[in-house]
Amino acid sequence: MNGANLACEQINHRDDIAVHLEPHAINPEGNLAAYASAVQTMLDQGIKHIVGCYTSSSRKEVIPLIEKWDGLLWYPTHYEGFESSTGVIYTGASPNHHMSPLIDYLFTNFGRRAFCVGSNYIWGWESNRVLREGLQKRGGAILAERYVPVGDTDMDNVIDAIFRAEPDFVFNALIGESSYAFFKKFRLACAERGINQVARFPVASCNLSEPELVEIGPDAADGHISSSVYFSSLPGKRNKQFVAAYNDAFPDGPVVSAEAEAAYIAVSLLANAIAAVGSAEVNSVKRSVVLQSFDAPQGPVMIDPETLHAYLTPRIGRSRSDYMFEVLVEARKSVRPDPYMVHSSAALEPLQRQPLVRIVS
Amino acid sequence: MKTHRLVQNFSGYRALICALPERSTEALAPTLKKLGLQSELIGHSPAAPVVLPFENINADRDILFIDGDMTLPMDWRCLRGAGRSALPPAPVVGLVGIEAPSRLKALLLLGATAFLAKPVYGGAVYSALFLGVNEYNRKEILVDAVDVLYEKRRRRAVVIKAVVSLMNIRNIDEDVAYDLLRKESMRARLSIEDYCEYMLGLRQEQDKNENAHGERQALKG
Repeated sequence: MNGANLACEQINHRDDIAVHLEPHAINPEGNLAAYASAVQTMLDQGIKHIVGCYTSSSRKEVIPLIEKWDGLLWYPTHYEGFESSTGVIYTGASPNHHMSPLIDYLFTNFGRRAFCVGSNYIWGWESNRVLREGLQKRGGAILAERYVPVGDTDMDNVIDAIFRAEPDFVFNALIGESSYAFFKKFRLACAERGINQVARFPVASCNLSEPELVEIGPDAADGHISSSVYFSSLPGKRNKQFVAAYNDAFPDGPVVSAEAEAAYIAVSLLANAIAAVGSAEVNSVKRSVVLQSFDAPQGPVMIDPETLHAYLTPRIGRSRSDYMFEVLVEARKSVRPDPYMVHSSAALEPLQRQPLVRIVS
Repeated sequence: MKTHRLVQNFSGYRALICALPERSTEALAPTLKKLGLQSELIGHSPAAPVVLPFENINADRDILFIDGDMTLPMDWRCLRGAGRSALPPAPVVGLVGIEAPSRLKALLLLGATAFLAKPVYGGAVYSALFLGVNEYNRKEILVDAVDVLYEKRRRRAVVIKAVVSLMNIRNIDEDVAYDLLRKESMRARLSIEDYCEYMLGLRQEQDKNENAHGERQALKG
C-alpha cells in the first residue's frame, strides 16, 4: 500500500511523463469475503487497474471479476506459483526466485537434514513440498514436517520435536503471528538449554522481511536466513533514494519491505506502460508493459510476456538485530520467472526415502 | 462382477459438496439442480481439518465434491481404518482452486476421478460429473477384477497340487490332468481353484478312511 502510494506520488511529480495517477483505496482488512465486493466497487467506478491482494485465496476471489470486466490486477506479492491469469501482472517473486537459491544455500552451508515447520495453509504445504523435492534431488532429507493452524502461537510441541530430531537447519513456512511466536519461543528455548540457536539450529524462511523482524523484536530478530528479491539494505544509489523517500513519506512505518518494493514496481511499471502507449486501456497497457524495463530499487525488472510474471534478482540475506538484512548471496542478474517450475522441477515426483509423517498439532 | 455401462443422466443423484463457503463454488449447486441432482453443502472453515462423510453413502447414488483448498486427510484409509478399501465411498470430483502439485496430489489420493476448476463455471459441471462417475465405476470394476486375480494367484498352489495328485492316480501327464480338472470344474460350475480344493478335500477324506480301515484290519489281525 505504502509502496504503491509512494510510486503514485513520484509519478505525479515527474515532468518527463504525462501520466497522472489518482489512487483510490479500499481496505478489505484481510476478510476474504470483502475482496470481491471491493474489486466490484472499483470496476463499477471504471477503475481498471487494481494493485493489491496478499494471500492467494484473496487473489483467487478477485481474478474472476477482473477477467469478466476486463480489468488488470497488479499483484505485488511473492506466492507459491502455479497460476498465470491473463488478467494479472505478477510483480512479486515466483517460486523459482525464492526457493531454488535458498535450497542451494542451505544445502551448501548448513547440511542436508531439514526440519520443516509451516502454517496449515497452501503457503506452508507448497513451500515444504518444493523444499522436500529440492533436498531429495540433492541427496538431502526432511526429518519431519509439522503444521500449525493459521494464527496459532503455541509452539512448544514443535520446538520439542526440533530438539529431538536434531536437524541441520529449520525451514520455516509459518505465516504472521505464528511465525513471530516461533522465532521468539525457539530462541528462548535454545537459550534455556544453553544452545546457540543461530549456530546450531539456523532458521531459514522465504521472504522473511524487515517489518516482520520488527514484530519478532530485538531479542530474537538476528541471525535468520531469508530468501528474497529485495532487502532494504541493498547497496546502490537507486535503492538509497527509494528507502529515503519511503521513510520520509511514512515515518511511522511499517518499514520498507519486499512487498512495498513490489507494489512500487507495479505502479511504476503501470505508469511507464501507460506513458509509452498514451492510453490506460487494459489491452494496450498489457501489450506495452512487457516491453518495459524498469530500474527498480532491487535492480532491473522486466515482465515476462509469456507468464506476465516479473524477472527479479534473487538474494539470500541474514537478519541483524537492527531489523535489517546483510546480503550473503546475490544472483548476478535478474532471473526469468518460472511460476510452474517447468525449468527447475523433475517430471516425476521424487521417491520418498522414508515414510513421511505429517503431524498437525 | 459389475459390467461397465456409462451413466449419462445423473438425475436423482445426491451431491455432497465439501467446500469452503466462498463465491467460487456458488455456481455449483444451481447447475447440479438443473442436471437433476440434489445438493447438500458440508461447509468448513479453512483452518480446521475437514471431516469427510463416509458413512451412509451409496456409491451408486452419491457424488462427493471435495475442495482442494481445504486441509484434507491423507486418504480414505486413515478415515475408515487400515485394511479397508482405498477407493472412496462414492465418486469424487476435486474442486481445484490453487493448482499447485501438493493440492492436486491431495485430491488424487482421495480418489478424485475428475477435476472442476474454481471458480466453478456452469458449463464444465456436466463433463466433470460424466468423467468422475464413469471413471469411478470403471475403477471399481478394475479393483474387483484385481482382487479376483490376486485370489486366484494365492490359490495357484491348490491347482498344482491337484494336477500332481491326478497325474499319480491316473498315471497321466500334466496337460491331460489339467484339461481334465478344467472340464470337471466347468461341469460342476465351479472355478478351477474351488474344484481343485474340493477334489483334494475328497482325496484327503478317502485317504483318512482308507487309513482307518487299514488300522482296523491290523487290529483285528
